[in-house]
Amino acid sequence: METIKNYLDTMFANLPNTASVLKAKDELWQMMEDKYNELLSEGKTENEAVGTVISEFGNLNELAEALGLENEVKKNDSDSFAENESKKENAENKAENKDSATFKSEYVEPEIIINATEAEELLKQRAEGSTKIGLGVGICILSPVGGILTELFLHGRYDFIGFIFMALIIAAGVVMIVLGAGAMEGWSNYKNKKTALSMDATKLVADERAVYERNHTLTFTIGILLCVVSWIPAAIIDEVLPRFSDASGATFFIAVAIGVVLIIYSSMRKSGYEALLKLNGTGTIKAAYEPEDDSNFKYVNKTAEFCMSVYWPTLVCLYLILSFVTFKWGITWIIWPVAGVLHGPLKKALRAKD
Amino acid sequence: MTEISSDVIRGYNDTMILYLLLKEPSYGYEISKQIKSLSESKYNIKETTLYSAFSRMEKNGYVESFSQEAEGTGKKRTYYRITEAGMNYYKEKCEEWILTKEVVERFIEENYNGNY
Repeated sequence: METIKNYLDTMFANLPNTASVLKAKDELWQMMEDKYNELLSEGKTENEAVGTVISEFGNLNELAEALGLENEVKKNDSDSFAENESKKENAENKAENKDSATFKSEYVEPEIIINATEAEELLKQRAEGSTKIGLGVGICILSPVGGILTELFLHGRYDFIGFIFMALIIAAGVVMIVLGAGAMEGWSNYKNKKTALSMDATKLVADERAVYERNHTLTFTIGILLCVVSWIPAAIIDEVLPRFSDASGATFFIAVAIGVVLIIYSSMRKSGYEALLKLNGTGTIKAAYEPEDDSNFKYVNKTAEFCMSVYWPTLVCLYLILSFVTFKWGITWIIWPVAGVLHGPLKKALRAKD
Repeated sequence: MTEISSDVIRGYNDTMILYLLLKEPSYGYEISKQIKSLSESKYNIKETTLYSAFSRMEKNGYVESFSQEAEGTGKKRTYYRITEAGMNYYKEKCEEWILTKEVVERFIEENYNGNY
């Protein structure tokens, strides 16, 4: 029985993990199991039964049409005769598809199927990219430390040096973010394409996600905690070593920076697993790995569209202006969680009804 | 021993399956077993052939599938039942076969020994 199951798994390993493929696999398994049991009850040995079931299974090429995967099955089969055969079938199917346009909407044929090796590579890129982007943002957050230290050592005589210092650090951070985005280049290949995950790849991603899960919770929690307690060292320094109170701000930024690095890194990695596995969600392979198919998204009117398109840039400006004017960095960050929570409902409220 | 060419029989897998479903709804292995026994083991339908026929006929509306637990064992199986359209299609295929058989038969020499 195990052998048959393994055989079936192997046959299906490189096919995408879609509803129709799973249905086919399940039903073939029912038939094979029935046949196997019957052969045993007829007095065949286990080996004979397995042999018969496997030899009478047939050919995956035959399933291609049922699965809507003519191209994929063809690709998996190096036999040139089979290739010609399925080319012929393809031509027939194309003609057929015209009449059966209504069926097409139920099942979207994937343009790309990500196999296990490719999925592994994507996850590797994700890990590298999230490290770099996290560090980049962290470095940007650290930039005021440059100003603070200059202030501390030069006692306000050369303010411009502090600003130059700060600008340099921000530039370094931005470079890091760009590098991080570049490291995840592989992901853009699948953007806006109908992509599916092969059965093998699905298993691999799910397994790796399970391993990563605990790691994620720890990293993410430490990140949040660091942000929450970031003001404590500064408060202590102010209290105990008032001589260094000018520098106490620096400890605040350092704690926040480390916290943010951890938060970004862990959530980006996690979302990588989620994004890949989502390819096999209820809508199977409706579109790209993007969580939502936004291509059809429309706002009620132009004004709403404009307001939403400047939502984040406006907030960035607001945040920076408020923070620099009041210099209450400890409070102004509240803007982000609030804005994040408001964004979803706002977008929904302004969505055009078809 | 001569074996049935899968190319030739391909066009009539649907007919055989529909014929068996005329009597009562059935499931994959049961149908393949009946095909084997009715053909006196001369035709043994492969699982993939059977499934692709089911899937195609369901798409075309000739059969409907439903899930049901088998008596006794409680194992869940996918059963198929024939539809109105399936019965019409079956009738068409029968007529088509009678014609095909009639035509091809005129060119068949049963005891051909290699000489003319």
